[in-house]
Amino acid sequence: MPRSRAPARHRPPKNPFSLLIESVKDYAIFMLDPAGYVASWNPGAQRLKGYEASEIIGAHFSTFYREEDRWKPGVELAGALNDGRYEDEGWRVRKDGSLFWANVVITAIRDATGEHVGFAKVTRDLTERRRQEQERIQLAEAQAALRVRDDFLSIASHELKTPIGALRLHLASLELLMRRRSPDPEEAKRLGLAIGQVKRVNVLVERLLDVSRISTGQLTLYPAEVSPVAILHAVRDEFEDIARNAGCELRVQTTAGEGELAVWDATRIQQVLGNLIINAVRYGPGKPVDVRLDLAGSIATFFVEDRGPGVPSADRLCIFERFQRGSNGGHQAGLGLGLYIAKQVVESHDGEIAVRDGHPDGGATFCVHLPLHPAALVPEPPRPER
Amino acid sequence: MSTTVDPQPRIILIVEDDVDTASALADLVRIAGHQAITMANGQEGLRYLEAHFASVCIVILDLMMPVMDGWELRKRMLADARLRSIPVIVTTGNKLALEKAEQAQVRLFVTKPIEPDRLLEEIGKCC
Repeated sequence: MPRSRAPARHRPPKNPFSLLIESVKDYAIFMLDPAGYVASWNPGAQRLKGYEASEIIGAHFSTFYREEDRWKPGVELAGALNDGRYEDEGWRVRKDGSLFWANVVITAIRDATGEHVGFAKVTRDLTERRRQEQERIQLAEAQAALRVRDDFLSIASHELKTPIGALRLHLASLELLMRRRSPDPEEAKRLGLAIGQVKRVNVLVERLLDVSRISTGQLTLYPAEVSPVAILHAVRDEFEDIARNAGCELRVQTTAGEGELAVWDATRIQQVLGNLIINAVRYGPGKPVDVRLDLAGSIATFFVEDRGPGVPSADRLCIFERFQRGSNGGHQAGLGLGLYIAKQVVESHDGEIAVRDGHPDGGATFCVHLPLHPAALVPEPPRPER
Repeated sequence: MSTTVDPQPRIILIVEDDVDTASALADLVRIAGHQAITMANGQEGLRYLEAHFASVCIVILDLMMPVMDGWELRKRMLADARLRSIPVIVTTGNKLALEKAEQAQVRLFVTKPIEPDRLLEEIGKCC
């Protein structure tokens, strides 16, 4: 409700103090008359609120408030008058309509006889500080939400493991009982399928547990001297049947000798290769999967090559993210965690994992480069678990 | 003068705090033709062993348990001449424990969920 008005009655005299006020650019410092009309204006106020002195002197200070806050000026002046001083933080409006977050102190001014002659108003722009605070709060909330998710993943996975184990044992008991009485082949087949599904659930739960361990920095590695060639053969032995069941021939080759040694967490490196092989089998069923190990200097490289649809260039980074999978394979079961876990394990060994075009007939080749002696890992003697 | 000969030990002692897992395991080994008894923690397991060491052909031992964990029970067994030679199969939910436990001198480590074939094969050799 700006209105035209005579020049303020309480314009400060031009003394050194008023010169000081006029030199302040970071604070809006101005006077209001007893009714709340602007009576003086400093360069800081002009800079902060956008009004020239000639535009605003005589206007009511409620001009600086948002429509929904127009109740505040009266309360603030009453507060200042009653207590001598009133402080507030909130949104204020510039001349151009933009908002800033202001700290406002209003002080009641009285003359030597105690008569109330107006108010001094000091306003600071705290928009940037508020933005930083808001960001800090949002970051803290996001981190808290992540912790809740990780805790949930961890607790849920641990809790799921126990009944899965008991279920597996009960199915084994059922299998033994059935074997005793020359079972119906259909029953035996169904039981076999049930056992297969229990194993699959367990793999999924293990992956969730790994993600939880990675997220909370609890993916502990147990490095020891191992032969990369022995790992290659162990992986072949473990996954040969799984590949064969999908119609894939699992072929391994290497020119390296058994005597070459690395310091790795063998269980985890086998898990990486296993995840890549399962991926290859899933995306290229019925076609061969080649696993090759090259040793060059102090670097071992495992290649896992499939004959599936390949990985489009656009997907080559994101497939290693959590809960992601390639867009090229149609609907594939799983959580989209295998490659994420593989990447985390490889990087914890100071290594790199990448995917590129594979065989000329199509497909993808995953390459895992691992230093034989990662600086991050020192072999530890076995310790009992506490 | 007479010599007493211990009967052939036949009992499989299952030390496992999870009731469902313990009973599923006991069912399985009984169906496979063995005798089984379950104890809920290392302390109970140790008491049973001290009283019945001659009857136990193998211990299936969980690691993480209240009151007394599996590592502690194994340590007590190794310190007791009567119990030292009883074979032990450790079951653990933590795969990485496998690599940390050479000094526990156990016959076999199996990760949970337990693969029954491997377990029964090993039990078959001892009982």
